[in-house]
Amino acid sequence: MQSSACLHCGLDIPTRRSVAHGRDFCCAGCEFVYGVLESKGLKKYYELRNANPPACPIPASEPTDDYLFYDDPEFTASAADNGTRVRFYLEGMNCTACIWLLEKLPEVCADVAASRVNMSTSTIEVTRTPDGSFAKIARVLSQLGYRPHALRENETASALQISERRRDLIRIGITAFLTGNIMIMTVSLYGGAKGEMGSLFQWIAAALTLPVLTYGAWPFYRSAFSSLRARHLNLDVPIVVAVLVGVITSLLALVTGGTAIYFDSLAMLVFLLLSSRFVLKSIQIRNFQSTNIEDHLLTGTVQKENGAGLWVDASASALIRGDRIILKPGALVPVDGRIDAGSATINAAVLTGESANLRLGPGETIEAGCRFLSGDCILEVTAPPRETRLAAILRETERLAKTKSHFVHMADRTAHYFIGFVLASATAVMLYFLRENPAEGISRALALVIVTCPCVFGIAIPLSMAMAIRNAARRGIIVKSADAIENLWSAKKFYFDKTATLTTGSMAVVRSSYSQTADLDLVLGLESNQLHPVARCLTKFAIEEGAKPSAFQKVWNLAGGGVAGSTDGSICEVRPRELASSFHNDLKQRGLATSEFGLFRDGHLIADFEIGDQTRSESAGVLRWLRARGLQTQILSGDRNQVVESCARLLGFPPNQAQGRMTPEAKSQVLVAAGRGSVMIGDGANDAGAFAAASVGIAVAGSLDVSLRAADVYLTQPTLLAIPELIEIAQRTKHAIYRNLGFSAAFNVIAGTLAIFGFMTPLWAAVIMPVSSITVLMSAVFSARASESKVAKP
Amino acid sequence: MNIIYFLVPMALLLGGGFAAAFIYSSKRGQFDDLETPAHRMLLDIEPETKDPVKGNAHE
Repeated sequence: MQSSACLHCGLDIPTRRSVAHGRDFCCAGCEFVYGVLESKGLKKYYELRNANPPACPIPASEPTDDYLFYDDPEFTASAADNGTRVRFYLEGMNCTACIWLLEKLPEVCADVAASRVNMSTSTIEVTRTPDGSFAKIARVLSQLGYRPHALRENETASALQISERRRDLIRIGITAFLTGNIMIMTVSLYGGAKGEMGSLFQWIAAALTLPVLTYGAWPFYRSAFSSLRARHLNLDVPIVVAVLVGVITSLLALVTGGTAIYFDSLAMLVFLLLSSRFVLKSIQIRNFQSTNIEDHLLTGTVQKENGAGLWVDASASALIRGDRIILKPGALVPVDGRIDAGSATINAAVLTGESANLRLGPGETIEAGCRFLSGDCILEVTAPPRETRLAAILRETERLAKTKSHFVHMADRTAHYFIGFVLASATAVMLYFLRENPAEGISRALALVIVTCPCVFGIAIPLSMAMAIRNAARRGIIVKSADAIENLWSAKKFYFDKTATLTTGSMAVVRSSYSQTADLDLVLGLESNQLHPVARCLTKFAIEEGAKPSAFQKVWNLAGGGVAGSTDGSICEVRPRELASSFHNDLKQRGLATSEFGLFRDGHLIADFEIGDQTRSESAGVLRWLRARGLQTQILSGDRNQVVESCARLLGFPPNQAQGRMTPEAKSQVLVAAGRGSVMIGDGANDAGAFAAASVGIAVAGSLDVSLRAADVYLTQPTLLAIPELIEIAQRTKHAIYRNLGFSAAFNVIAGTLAIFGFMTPLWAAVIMPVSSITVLMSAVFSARASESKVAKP
Repeated sequence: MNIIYFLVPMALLLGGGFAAAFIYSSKRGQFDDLETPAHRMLLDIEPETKDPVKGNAHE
């Protein structure tokens, strides 16, 4: 009895697969990786991974890219240490076994001299051997299941970031040290120290508070000052006001021998604020600044005809209009061009969302960003890489992302009113008592300002957001900033791309009818040596269904498309069911993404197969889940109307909520018009503009790097199930924050009223304030903890 | 109670020493990555493992 879990990734094995090493694997990728680890003596990886449940399943993957641009001189020149050291952001690095394996990279790949993992940033720093290739290293990482994104970082910028973090940390450390000691001094005062001893402790506390209020609180002064200069009230203004008023009264009391001394409260406030901001800052992925697609296109090499009529290798970035080039199969087309001679099969899904492969002949144009699949053709460059339509789309995306209206957090808006109200009330109280009893007025105003400290805004809300981002990250959902969480909880309209988002994006057999496995044996026998994409789909399907190739005496290609072979005196054919003059052209003209192929024996149909772009198995469920919550769903696809319609029918979209033939520009216009509360979910370069225009752009796994840059959220697992999870997380965060706001409002109204009417001395205010802060803090932490285990699945 | 004039400065000095140690270790990058070392210490050190920081070749 064999286990049904893949030995490499631990996922279920979908169907019977070829058995190698006497064990089962779910796919060729896993089998390959297992083989590599076994041959290099690195099987301890599995021990480590399984010793530490929950195991982190990493399905190995075929590299989605050849990563050739990482070998471009322009890229390597930007790498550290004379072009030998690069940092990659890796997807799917979660556990101890991952670290172990990744730091053993030099043993897996000879091009690596050294590698070091940083788990908090999900990055790996790789040093190559003097003649090593970053492209090869990236392919190995990708094959192991960790999709790499090289971080093109300006070395000074990243050094600045590190030193900023260290500076923040030191500031917190010193503040914590001083605050602790101030507390100790103050305890003696609360305990009743009087006279010479009492004043000694007061003076020590004052001396210790001085650096907290200058050096420690410095970021608040700076931020409050710049916000005032911009004629705007931010959260730091009341903090600074409270701190300054507190310091002045405390100093006065200290000199005159009064009792209104709040050094401990002030220091604690500064410490808590510094810490919560540090947590939020360090959890946001600020430097997810991966290389952009322009680099992918501009770099790499093609074959170019030189003046003498010879074909030479040339860098894509050096191409000019009128050059004649030959592309490598599988490469991304770097330029806009026209086919001069020959023909080509391309896939334009990235650019247009069209799922079907296109076969193009002389005179037809190919746009940059398409993938060149096969064919022999000479392409004449009509637009060099920087002037293509794709380049224009990318520039527009960058522009939209920059001008994305500055989002004002709900917390900031509320804080704004709150702060204005508190300051106005305090001033009113002071003015009221100005004539008769100014001391009483100051005391009441001070009590009011201290007791209504906006802790819920400054500490609890950032903390709730930070926990939500972390919570999402544990589920493989990378959320770039707290804005996305807040926008998600009020999102009403969800726009989906079709190709590779609602569908898997790869051609596969979506329907089949055959009577016996022997039929599949015939199909496999005929198609196994064919290179055509249809043949590869059929081969894959037959292998997964457990077919063994039949032997044929002779195999030949049919003029109208398809393949035929003779066996045991009968002739078998696999060809389109309706034989047209040329089935490629036929497919193109009828605009079908699915196509029916038949297996014929001596002219009789004995089995048929429909090939198309499969919808993801979870798409329908996720859409139902969204609709059940009253959220609008809509398809925005660049694919042909017919294909979009059939997909929409399958997934329950009314016809008016599925739009096909959308250009990338049109998509972003729809999102601009949709305004707030719109979410775009997609993958390709054609969605990048829409991501930038939407309130929240969600890029699904496998997206191009350009989409990643424009998106706010990135799903690292290839499933849409992450979307309901993400929405649940956002909703729970919203509830936690609202609960805290409600509590805080009730507290502030009661305590504020008591302060105004003189029932609360500043001393009591200073004692009560931290209690309320800690309450909201605990509530934020515990509700996030609780929600971690409660996210529902559709 | 005169001992307090000695003890308080001592306590502050002691705390200050730890604060200084903290500053020193922050500056040396001890707190740049708070997650990986916790996992790395679970892994056995093998003789052939080279120092990844310095990037030495196999030894």
